[in-house]
Amino acid sequence: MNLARTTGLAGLGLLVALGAQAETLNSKGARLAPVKVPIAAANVGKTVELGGDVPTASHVMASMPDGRSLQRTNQGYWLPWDGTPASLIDNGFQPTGGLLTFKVLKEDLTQRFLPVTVTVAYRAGGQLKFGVFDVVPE
Amino acid sequence: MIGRLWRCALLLPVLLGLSAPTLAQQSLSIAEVQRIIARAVNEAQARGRPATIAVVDRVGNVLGVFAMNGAAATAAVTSGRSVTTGLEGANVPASAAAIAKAVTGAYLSSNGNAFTSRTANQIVQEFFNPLETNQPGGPLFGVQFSQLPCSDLNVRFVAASVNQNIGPKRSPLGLSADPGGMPLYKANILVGGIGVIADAIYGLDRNITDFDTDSDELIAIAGSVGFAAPVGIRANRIAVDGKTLRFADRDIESLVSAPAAAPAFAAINGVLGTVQAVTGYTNGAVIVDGQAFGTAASGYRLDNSGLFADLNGFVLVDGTNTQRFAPRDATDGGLTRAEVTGILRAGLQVANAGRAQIRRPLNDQIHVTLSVVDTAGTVLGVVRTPDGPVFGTDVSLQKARSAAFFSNVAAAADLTAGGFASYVASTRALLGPNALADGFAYAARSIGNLARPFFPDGNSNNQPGPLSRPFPSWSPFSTGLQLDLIANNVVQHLNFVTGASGVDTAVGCTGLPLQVATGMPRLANGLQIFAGGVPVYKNGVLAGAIGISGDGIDQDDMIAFLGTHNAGLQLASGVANAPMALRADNLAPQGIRLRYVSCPFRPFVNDDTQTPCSGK
Repeated sequence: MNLARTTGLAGLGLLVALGAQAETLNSKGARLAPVKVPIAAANVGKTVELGGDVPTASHVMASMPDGRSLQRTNQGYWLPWDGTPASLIDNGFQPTGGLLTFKVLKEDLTQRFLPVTVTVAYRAGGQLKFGVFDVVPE
Repeated sequence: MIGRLWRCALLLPVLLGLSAPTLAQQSLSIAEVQRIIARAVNEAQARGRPATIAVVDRVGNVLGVFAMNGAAATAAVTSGRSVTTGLEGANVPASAAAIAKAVTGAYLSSNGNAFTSRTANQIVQEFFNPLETNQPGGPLFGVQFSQLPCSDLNVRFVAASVNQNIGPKRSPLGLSADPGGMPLYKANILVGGIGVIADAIYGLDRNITDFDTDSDELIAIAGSVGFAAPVGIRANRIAVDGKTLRFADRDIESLVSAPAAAPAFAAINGVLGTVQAVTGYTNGAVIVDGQAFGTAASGYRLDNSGLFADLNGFVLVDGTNTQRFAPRDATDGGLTRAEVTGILRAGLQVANAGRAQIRRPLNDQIHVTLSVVDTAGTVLGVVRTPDGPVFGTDVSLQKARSAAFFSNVAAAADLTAGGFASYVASTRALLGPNALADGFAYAARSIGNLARPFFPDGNSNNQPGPLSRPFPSWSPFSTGLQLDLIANNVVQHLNFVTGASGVDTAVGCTGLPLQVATGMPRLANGLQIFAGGVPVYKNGVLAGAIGISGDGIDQDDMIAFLGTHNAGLQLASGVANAPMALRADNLAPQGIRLRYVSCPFRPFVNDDTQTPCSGK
């Protein structure tokens, strides 16, 4: 395998060390490390560093491979989402020690398409900061 | 005649108001996959060319991969043009190359046309035909970068999931222009494809004026004996722009083995080679049954929602038989679910009335996939005619997203943020200082004008289009912006396949800015650069786009453009094609006017209308 010979391509060095750094969200959207799960008993969460931000609301959304957009309620249910930030429901996650942990899902995913693309977001300083990761099978 | 009878059978239940299956269904069994592999191995053994052989079904499920003892583990990517950029020079896994070639044979074909990777070779190069200078580029220029491993539409193989066998599956290398990928048929029904790599080169054939003795192709031909494409629908019975397409350079007369006398699979497995496990594509080293296309188990079935069944519309479904990409409201406040439905229905009506370019028998209707997106690239709806080639599922979405993206005033900013400012600069040097932010409406055809290695297309003395690499560093493996957008996704995926990385490419191609609405970039399954998509406006404001793929590019253009026009008349809600003053054919850099759409002359089967798009 000699993919390094693909000269002329920028950024091939990005292929290593995914997920090794502290993860943060930003207003343009951050790519976050995928989360690997046993599909019959998936338990997915995501912790991000706040970098001094003080969240006033937190949100979890999912783009399903069947074309639906969903968002998580603060009770852990998933509802259709129209794709607009204004209609996002506050999940109420609380920061601890400069970190914010999002609960995403805990369920059997054998009936779902995988990967599921999950977006986690919080509002701070008048901005919506968000990041995206894939839930993938182990 | 077979096709005409099939079409009558297809329409009869609809006319009678029945909900019976409307697409003849066949599939490959494990024993048949084993027979196909055994016959291919027999030919490879006779030629002394150990090969890697893959068999897939029509929706891209990998049914088996067999590596003969001594077969090269990798294949070198080369166009033979001494190009060193893009994917040129990469060594890719032989299993990935074989799968991509098999997928190409299956995906480009249908029950009305049988195309091979040699056919693909003919229609993706800088001239059509290749090496005929002063001719425009291939009609499917750029299609090789579809079905990408990062596509959000194409399905990933996940063992033990209810969606394990749902298609369309992704391809590790997109579509292939390297001869040795052929479709497989049972009782004249497309059931899959075979892909072979024995020469350790993942390349193409630049000179199509001769007849090669290509070991990959001959081994694939041997494997397909008993499952060969009907002669009457092969590419060499189909012409595009007056040029006959190619199916294969050799036939069974050139085989050095006797396929019918090939040893049983049990006699070769573990002796002449072994079944392979391919990460991301198989559940271990196994051979499995194929799915019957058109059944829910394949991921494609007749619509039962009441929205499209009267037009014989087919939809995509998941493993629970729930529809994927049912019409929905846009995320940007533009198109409503009812408008999306109206656009798709109007497009289906055009397809059902239109005369196919690439199908036999003559006067068969057009078969395609239609996709509608909003300005964020959100999929708002997908529907198909029953027998559209599977490749058009992903490509129709690529075309829609590409048209919506380039027509968006945010295009320049997105490209710059993604690290592609040089392409913005070259486009502005040609089109003006505010190009890609000025609100001009680009059809997929217009984007294609800018993405060819010559501008205008066809003359090798011309400068490159601003979205293309200069010709000395151009090849089908090094196209320009189209490849640069997704190259990291492909490389990361191949590292995952080989085990060099435990992390597969993300869902959603390109490094362009992520959209809150989708969690993905606007071009989430990659950029497409050949015709068949137009932006859609609502009350004069960009609202998204429609993309069509599966037949000739003029037919695809017509369905997109005329479908949108007709939907606008029927809906009376402000939906329309781009205002004429905004269309890219108002741009004439260096005196060369960009093209918007090109509709066929006299395009309908039972209607003498000559130029249905004129004046609209």
